[in-house]
Amino acid sequence: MLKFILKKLLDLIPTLVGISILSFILIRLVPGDPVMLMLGERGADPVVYAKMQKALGLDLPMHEQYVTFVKKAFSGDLGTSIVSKRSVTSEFFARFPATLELGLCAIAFAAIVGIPFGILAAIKRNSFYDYFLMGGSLVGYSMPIFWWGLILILFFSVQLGITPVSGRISIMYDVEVVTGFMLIDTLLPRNLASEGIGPFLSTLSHLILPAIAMGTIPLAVMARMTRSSMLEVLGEDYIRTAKAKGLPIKKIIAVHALRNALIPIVTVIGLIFGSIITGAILTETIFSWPGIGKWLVASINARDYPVIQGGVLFIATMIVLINLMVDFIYAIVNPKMR
Amino acid sequence: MLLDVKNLNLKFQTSKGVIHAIRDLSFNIKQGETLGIVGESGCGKSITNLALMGLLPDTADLTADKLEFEGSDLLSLKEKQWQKIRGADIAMIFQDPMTALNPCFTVGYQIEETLELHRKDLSKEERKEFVFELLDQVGIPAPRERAKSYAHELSGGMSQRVMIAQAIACNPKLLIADEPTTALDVTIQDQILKLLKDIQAKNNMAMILVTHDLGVVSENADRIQVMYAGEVIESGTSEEVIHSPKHPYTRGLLDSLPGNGDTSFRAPLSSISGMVPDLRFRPSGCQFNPRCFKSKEECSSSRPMLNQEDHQVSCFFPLSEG
Repeated sequence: MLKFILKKLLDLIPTLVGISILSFILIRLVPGDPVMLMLGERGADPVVYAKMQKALGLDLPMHEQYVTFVKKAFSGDLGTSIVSKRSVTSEFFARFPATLELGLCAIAFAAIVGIPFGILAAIKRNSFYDYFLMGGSLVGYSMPIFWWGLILILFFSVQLGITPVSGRISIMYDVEVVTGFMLIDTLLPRNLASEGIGPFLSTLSHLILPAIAMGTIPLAVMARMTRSSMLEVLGEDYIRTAKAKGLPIKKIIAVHALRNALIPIVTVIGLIFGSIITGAILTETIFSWPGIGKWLVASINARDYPVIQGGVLFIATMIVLINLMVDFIYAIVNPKMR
Repeated sequence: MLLDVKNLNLKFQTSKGVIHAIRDLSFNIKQGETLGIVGESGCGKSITNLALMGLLPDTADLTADKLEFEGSDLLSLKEKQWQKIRGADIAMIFQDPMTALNPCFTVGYQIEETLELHRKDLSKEERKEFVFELLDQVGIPAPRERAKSYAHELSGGMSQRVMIAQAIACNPKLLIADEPTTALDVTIQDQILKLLKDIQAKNNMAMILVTHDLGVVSENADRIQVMYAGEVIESGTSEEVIHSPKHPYTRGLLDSLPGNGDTSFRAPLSSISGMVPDLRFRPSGCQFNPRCFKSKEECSSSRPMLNQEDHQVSCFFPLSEG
């Protein structure tokens, strides 16, 4: 097992090198100049411009800039945001919990709804339920996130007025941030003591719409995946054995079939996690969610090179680590992998 | 009579027409007896077993004059009542033990599950102990460690032993063994058959041994029933069927075994020409007549029925002794 972990961690190195080079070059290929943007549209004094450029290290050739970046990165310094003047690392960790919380809720929503849908469709194969659920999941899969998010806001927040439009928590509440996960922080004893259960409920109501918007495509993928995986498993010999033992069909499906059907689904959840972070950029922008997606979009607009480089590197690392975790879960679910 | 079947018919409605899979099947088994069912692939052996377990697919249309187990009717059973019988009174083992065990659970758990269902009198600890006992009984060394194994960690022979342990866990009165040795190495086949025989003698259990291997049934079955195209065409004691077959089909099967028929060195094995008929388009008269070397006009015009002697055969021109 230790060998397995080490191998996965070693795999991380070439991935990160590749990603750092790509993000480094790509952002510099985009037209636009951070110094120009900082000094204002009307243009600036060439002397001030050169001074500024030198201060940011942008006067050096690209490869030298990269070497400096890597050297600093090794000592744990990913640079300072040109816009906010705060370190990229602290900015990232201030925002990442928000994205992770939203992503986990979206995945949970997708799994809790999608897997039972898939099971139902498989058991009632070629029935009305099957066609309805699979047709519905195809619609869900085809829905662009930005459009779907806006529709949700228009209906639930504007028409019905039952959910907030945007943000993470109502500004009425003053919650002390400890973990960065609002669902946890609002339930901490000291916050509960000072503010009551209100902040938690507010957080929850703020989470619902973005989690649905973000989780709809994963839900569709999981429902379809569960259906086909379940159908395959239900035809296996060991299901016949379970029937021959006298097990009731409900138990056969819930225990014998589902356990086997989950193996490919776990893999899919791992892959979905990567796309969740990508989906975060759209969802967070629509819902003004203070996570890394929104942060990255803003920094791209400002050509904030250090933030883009560092942020992309962080996200890549997180995705690899999450996939490592999924591999572990996979080994738990599938005895053959142990 | 433990199991009594009279005129069982099984039909499947498919988009391509009605398949009459089993036609007028009648047989019975006494306690402690072994019935060998022999036939080519697709002759209705396995589907008969599923019918006896109440595991037919929904599309099946099953009718019978009589289908009784220990004197009680099986035809009218509801799914819930079937679940009480399956695994407890009638148990089954399958052809491929490697795929018949669930890969995600330990074999100990899978055996225990059967006990949990049917032996409510046992406590959790007693069940666990009983699992070890069963594994020991089927000849698995170090049962306490093996109980924690997964199917992929066991060999084919070991897996089949586990399947047997699971099947006999609740002392069934009837064990259906559907080609129990077909997927195993020849060296293991004998061990498994011997194990089944021992358990059978000890528990006074009746057994249906389904196989296409006449060698296996001749050694292990008390009676043999030969099936062709969903019908019984010959039935008698092993002695009678193997040594003086009356039906040309049985004769053909026996001749196709190595060492039977023309035994001169390097003579090609004899085979029965033709194919089992498509059950949607059954031939008229005797089902075997298109392939039969003794076929006459009568064979294709009217259908022979099993005669009512001890050694039953459904043929207008049965082979004479020897």
